[in-house]
Amino acid sequence: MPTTLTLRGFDELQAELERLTPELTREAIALQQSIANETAAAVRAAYPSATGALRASVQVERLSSTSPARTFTQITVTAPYAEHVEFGTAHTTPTPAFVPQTRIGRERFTDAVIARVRAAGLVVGGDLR
Amino acid sequence: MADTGLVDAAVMEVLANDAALAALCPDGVYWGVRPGGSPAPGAFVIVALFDHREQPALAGETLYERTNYLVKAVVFATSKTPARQAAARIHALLHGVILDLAAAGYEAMDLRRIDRVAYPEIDLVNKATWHHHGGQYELMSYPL
Repeated sequence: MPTTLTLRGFDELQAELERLTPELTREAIALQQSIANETAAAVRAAYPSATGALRASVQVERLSSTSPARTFTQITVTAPYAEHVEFGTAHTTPTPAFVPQTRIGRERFTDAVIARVRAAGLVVGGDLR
Repeated sequence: MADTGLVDAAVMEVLANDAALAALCPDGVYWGVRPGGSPAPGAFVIVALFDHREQPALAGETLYERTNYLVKAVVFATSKTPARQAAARIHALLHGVILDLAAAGYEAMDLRRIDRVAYPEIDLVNKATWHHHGGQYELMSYPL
């Protein structure tokens, strides 16, 4: 016996999302940039400093996107020994900095976008992490 | 009484009690760093707390905790193969395993690798190579 599942309301939902997207994307770009800069500052602060080169190598870069509804920002650490500091050497302890701070940054951005979407009158549910 | 330090110890114990891993890394399992300042060439396992977050519940209770451990084999060798083999054993011991955390006052929900770690390190003293292979393992648990 065939089973049929009918879902209604997608056209209305899509129309709502399209209406929301340009404004939300503009807000999200600014939010993401701001949180990325704060995250980079937190990574720098968590690193040890001998010459300052490691801290100075933490970079924030906004990446291009082919979709107007997507925004990407990348945090990189260019010092060649960053891995040795983060994960440790045979003689030194690991220094968790980039991994936990970028996790916190991603969660802060998700929470901020959810707050904006809710402020726009939409309901956000489920576990988004 | 929940004690997160005992949870750390339970993870260490799984690794320290395994004969196959001990054969690959005979110099032991250590928390954070191998003691002794400048360790002699050898093969050992490092476990370190990398990230931790708690999901709060009502009345000051904790719903669950997510703990991210760095677990890696550190092997002094000309080839990365022994370190890679030790990392594979670590993975077999931890990934997808439900640990018994009763002694720590916790119940484990999940343990899995969320990222790999693999890099060489040139020893500053003798210019030979240490190979670091392992991963970040996330343990989800809740206090009893």
